[in-house]
Amino acid sequence: MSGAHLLVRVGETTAALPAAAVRRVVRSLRLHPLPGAGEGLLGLAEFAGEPLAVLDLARLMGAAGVAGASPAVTVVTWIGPAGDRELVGLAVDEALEVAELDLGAAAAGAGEVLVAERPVRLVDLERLGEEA
Amino acid sequence: MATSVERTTSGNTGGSAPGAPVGPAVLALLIAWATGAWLVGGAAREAALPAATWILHGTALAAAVALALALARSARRASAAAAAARRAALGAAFRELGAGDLTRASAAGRGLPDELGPVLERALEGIGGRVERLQESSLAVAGAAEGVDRTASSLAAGAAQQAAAAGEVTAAMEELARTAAEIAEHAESQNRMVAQAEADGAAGAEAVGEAVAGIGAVEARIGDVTSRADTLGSRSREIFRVLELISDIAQETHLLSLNAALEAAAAGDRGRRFAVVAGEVRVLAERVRDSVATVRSQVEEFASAIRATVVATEEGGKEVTRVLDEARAASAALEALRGALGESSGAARQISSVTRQQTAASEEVVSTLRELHQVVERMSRDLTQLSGTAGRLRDVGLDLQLLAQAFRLDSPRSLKRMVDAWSARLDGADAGEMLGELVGATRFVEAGYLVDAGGRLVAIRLGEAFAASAAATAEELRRLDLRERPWYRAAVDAGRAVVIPPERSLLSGEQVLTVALPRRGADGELSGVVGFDVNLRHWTEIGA
Repeated sequence: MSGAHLLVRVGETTAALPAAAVRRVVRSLRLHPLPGAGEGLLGLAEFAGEPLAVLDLARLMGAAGVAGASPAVTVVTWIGPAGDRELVGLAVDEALEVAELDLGAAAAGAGEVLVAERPVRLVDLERLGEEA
Repeated sequence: MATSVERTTSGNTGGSAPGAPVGPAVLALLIAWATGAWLVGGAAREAALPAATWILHGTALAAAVALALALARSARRASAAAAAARRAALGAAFRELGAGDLTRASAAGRGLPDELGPVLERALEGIGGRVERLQESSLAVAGAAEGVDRTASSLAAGAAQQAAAAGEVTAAMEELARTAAEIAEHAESQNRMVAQAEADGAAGAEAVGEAVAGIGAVEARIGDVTSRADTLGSRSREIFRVLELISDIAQETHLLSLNAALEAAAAGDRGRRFAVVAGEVRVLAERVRDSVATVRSQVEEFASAIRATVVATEEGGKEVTRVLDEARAASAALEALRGALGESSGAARQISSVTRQQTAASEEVVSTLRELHQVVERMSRDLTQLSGTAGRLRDVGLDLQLLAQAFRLDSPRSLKRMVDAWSARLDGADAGEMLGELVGATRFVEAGYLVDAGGRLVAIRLGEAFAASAAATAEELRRLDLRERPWYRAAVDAGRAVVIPPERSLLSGEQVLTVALPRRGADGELSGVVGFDVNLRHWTEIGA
């Protein structure tokens, strides 16, 4: 199995998002923090005239963020199981490229592939909302 | 009281010896006056005495002529008896006249007849008057001579002092001239050194001026560099802004390329070529980003270098300013030094010039002083000569006085009358006491004395001014027989008052002129001689 993925950097981790789910890559949106929100929810932003929840991908992935550095890019993407998808913003440090990943090469269930000798974590967008 | 040992005064009264009758001498004088051949000594005619002398000459001549006429007239008129009496009276009158005693000659002539008596009387009065005037003139001459002598002596002493002073001043001026010459030499040497220093100073000032100008140029360059560095700094900031903009654009382009790639992926196979373009755009954007990073780092280095340069330049500028200030201060000091040197040089030149002038002036003064010295010396010699001439004039005065004193006159100045009066006062009085009184009444009498017929000193009294020097000698005289003294013999021989020419006094050792008179008792026998000595230092006070 293979497919186009958007590679992003979150802290020191490179993550791959399925390109089909990604709608747009924009500069960090202006956030409005929500009181009492969970740690993964950074706040609400406005995108194409609609409110958009912006999640902290690093926290969702359990990856170590870079202290003090605010995410520079927001990836607007669909998450959740098919038929119940939700458009959210994922705050990342950097959007790297769109690349074709050979998922067969990855160990099943490991959620990680090597791209140019470098480990890239595959993000399962369908289950991302559950964890949140 | 005098000895006959020495006779120092020249030009005596017609050369009459002591004791010889005075009459013939007087007659000889009258003749001498008439012929104008009277010689008292060369100095007498040279001296300014013509008035008195010629008056005397004329009067004597007139008197002699009148007398001769009277005699001729009386001889024709006289009878034989009367003629004898007249001759006797005339003889007596002429004897007295010959002895110089005008008083007695007048008395003897009173017995003459009417015509002869008054003529004789007038002649005698005429002679007496002239003799008195001669006496007074001699005093005046002597007084004037003394005055001239005193003045000349004082002037001579002053001139000698002046000559000595002129000599000293000359020496001092010569020394001054030498010193001035040395000063001028030193001043010129100093002037040369100052000129050299001035030239050195000028070169130094020029060098400093050049250095100042060079440093000024460096300062200007530094200012320029600082300004350019500032400009570069501001340009760097602009570059950073541009880089920021480029970086933003690159990031935006990157995001656009990613979104394009996503769109291409969504398009499936149809979007594959587009995806390639989007990938290339992304790579381009990344390269731009990397380049911007490189450029940024280089510009930062460059800006940092510029900042360092600016700081270094500013510090260098401060240093240059400090050096420039110091150089300017040095230049000013050098300029002041040159000014001082110039002044010093001017002063040295002035000193040199002035001292040269002073040297010339000093030499002139020295020359003038030498002339003055010679003049003063000549004057001193002349004054000494004048003093000698005045002394001779005084001697001439004394000669005239002695000549006048040959006559016995009814005048307070007549010494013969004075000794007659003394003799009369001694009659019946205490000799010592009376002599003391008589001597004390005069200032010119050195000693008055009375000697008896045996030549022994009966009494002697000294004048107040001479008592101290002559008292001891006076006592020794008591042991001597004074009959052999010239004055004693002359008085006895003449039988009347005599005046002995100047000789050295036994008492004081000074020149004196002795007046002596024989004294006779009631029986007509010689009882002694009364006399007094007139000290020649005081003879001009006779009769005063």
